[in-house]
Amino acid sequence: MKLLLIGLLPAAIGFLLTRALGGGTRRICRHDVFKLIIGTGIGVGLCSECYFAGLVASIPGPLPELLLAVAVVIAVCLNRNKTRCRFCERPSRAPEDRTLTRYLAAAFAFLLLLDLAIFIWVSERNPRGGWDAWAIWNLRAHFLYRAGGSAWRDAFTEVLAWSHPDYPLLLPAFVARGWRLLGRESSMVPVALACFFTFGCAGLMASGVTILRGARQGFLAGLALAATPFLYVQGAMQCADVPVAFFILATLVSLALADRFNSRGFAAIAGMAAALAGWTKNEGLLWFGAILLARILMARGRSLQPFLAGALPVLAPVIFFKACVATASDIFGSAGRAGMIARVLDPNRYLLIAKEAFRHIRDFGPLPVSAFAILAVYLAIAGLQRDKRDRDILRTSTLALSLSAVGYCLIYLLRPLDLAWLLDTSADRLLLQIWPGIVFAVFLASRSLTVPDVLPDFPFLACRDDSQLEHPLDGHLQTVFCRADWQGCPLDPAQPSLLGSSCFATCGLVAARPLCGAPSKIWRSIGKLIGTTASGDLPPRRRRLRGPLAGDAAENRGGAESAHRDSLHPDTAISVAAWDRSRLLYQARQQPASFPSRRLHGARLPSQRICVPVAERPGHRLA
Amino acid sequence: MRDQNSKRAQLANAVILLMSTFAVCTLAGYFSLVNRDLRVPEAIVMDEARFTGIRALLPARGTIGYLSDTGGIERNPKAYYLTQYYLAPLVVAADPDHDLVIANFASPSAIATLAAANGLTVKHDFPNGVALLGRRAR
Repeated sequence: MKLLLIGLLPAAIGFLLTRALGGGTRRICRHDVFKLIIGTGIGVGLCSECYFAGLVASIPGPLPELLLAVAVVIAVCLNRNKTRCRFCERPSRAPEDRTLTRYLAAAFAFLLLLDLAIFIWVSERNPRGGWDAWAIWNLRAHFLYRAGGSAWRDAFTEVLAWSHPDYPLLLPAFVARGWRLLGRESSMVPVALACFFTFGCAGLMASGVTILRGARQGFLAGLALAATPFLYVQGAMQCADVPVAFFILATLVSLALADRFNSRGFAAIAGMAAALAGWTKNEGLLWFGAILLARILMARGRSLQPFLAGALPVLAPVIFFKACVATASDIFGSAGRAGMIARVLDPNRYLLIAKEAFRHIRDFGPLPVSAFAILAVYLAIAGLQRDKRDRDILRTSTLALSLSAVGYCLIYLLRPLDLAWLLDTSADRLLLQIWPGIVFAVFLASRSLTVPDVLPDFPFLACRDDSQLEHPLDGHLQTVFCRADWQGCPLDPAQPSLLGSSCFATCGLVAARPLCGAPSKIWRSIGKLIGTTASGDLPPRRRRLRGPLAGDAAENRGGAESAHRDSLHPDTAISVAAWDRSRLLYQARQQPASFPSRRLHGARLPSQRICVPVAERPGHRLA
Repeated sequence: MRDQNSKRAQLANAVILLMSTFAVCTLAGYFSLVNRDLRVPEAIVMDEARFTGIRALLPARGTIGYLSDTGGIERNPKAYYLTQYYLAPLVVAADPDHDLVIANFASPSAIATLAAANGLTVKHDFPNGVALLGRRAR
């Protein structure tokens, strides 16, 4: 029962709140993994604020968070008629090479297992966490848990200025809440909390990018985080920079979803996440200001109202804490103001900050090659995608992350401590705060692997059994196949590459060209190594085809013959995967009869595959 | 252009595979790094059990002083911070200018001498280097 209250209650509160705001089906859908991760983070933050409110108001027990749980349940009940998941409703961009996706998923899981081993190993040896954990966060948790009455305020005294009594209380309050519910102090509570935020970053990254850009891109982004050992060591050290990184990432992912799906609910969740970053650490408050300013400047204040509506209730305890409980910060307090002008005017400080920033960026990871450099090279090679739907969030995230970085530099400039020591001990952790946000922005901005993201505005495709196409495909369609009599087609629609029709012979070749044309030696080696290529399902004969769309008549004839052997009757229908979303929606509106069902002989079609009968399309002309 | 995109995408895959390789190598390196760091000996053995006895003698709330033979907060801040960590919610000030002072010593025999030098008397001496000191009546 106690464990349920400690861990599951915040998760349930956050998950239900996310579903109430962001939508969700009556049953569990695959996108609920994302909602559970981001919801648990928000639930942890809200329960922490409830515990703090209980301390301030001298309310014993978990009454405030139980009231919060009731409020969330009421919100869910009020939204019971809107039981739909927006992510499920929209087709994803493209069906992906399952083999490669599986390999990426396996690599992601393998790295996470290694990370978990590291995490457990470090946690066993440091159950109280690293220096910052016990000297700041767990120390404050001791005050909040052990002190009776108003004695918890003793933690916020100038005598303990070295423990940063101006830092917000998400971690201490949640740990103290856990101890209170457990009835004793246990290092398992901060360790479990650190474990959630650490691995939650990778989970949030993978699931969020999967929704936005597909599973392969999602696993790649998750892999980039899983390949950052510093994140997991700092997480095991119970460092507060990891939760800040989680909330920065949650802000960006939620805003991206809000933009993509026109969801005011996710804009509100983004506001909550940004505010909870401010409830975690002072740098989180900097992030809140940065994202707010960037949103106003770069997205013309788009979704600003729901963002603020989500943020303000969460910010209220932060404001109260800063105004009535916390001491002055060491930057803007009397000690910090003394000599501030001299520090600002000292050119050596600028030089040192620049030099150390470069060194830490170079050594970040730590990987043999800088993680930043790898991301930059990846972005340069993969190229930028041109999806207008993500333009606002990309601009917003770029500016917000840049503003945060500039803010960190200003903090270094103003802080009245030994600058060299300060940079040496904290620059890595500040980079860690924005690292997941940078990874997210890069993988959202970059092209997906192997398949160009933006489909060209090509005309409708129509094929006959002689495999002549009416219009060129421009080579961008990933998997186009024609089927005979789709009402009676015995083939598995989930495996389009196995469909054997004359049209598939041609279209499949066209689709294959951008996927595997002229592979480099490196790529061939990798293909041999992992046993597939990006279009590994295609037979070798087709894989070799080069040249323009209608170029190789012999291959076309071969395809037609194989189609006849398969006893199929083409041109009844064309199943188009990865079609331009707006075009599909247009067609669905114009001809709802063309979209009768997503079920075919009991086999559920993936939502992104839509069957469009050729004969009903406007303007088509069979050759 | 399409071929170029294809090449780009393929190379991107290669970069990611390389990144994974880097990560695996680095994680293996981290095992030895963290292991090495944890084996650094410390001047004072800090464990919470040392403070169990004195905690019963201290008030539930208030501010007490701190005295150590290892250099105080400037030279050995970890010992002071951990003392505060174990004794919270009592506030432990970093100086001995208080009516009650906690002594956290590496060599227990030096407690009385150092206490006297600071105008303090030993109220209760635990055999593990921890003692409760009180200010002499003026």
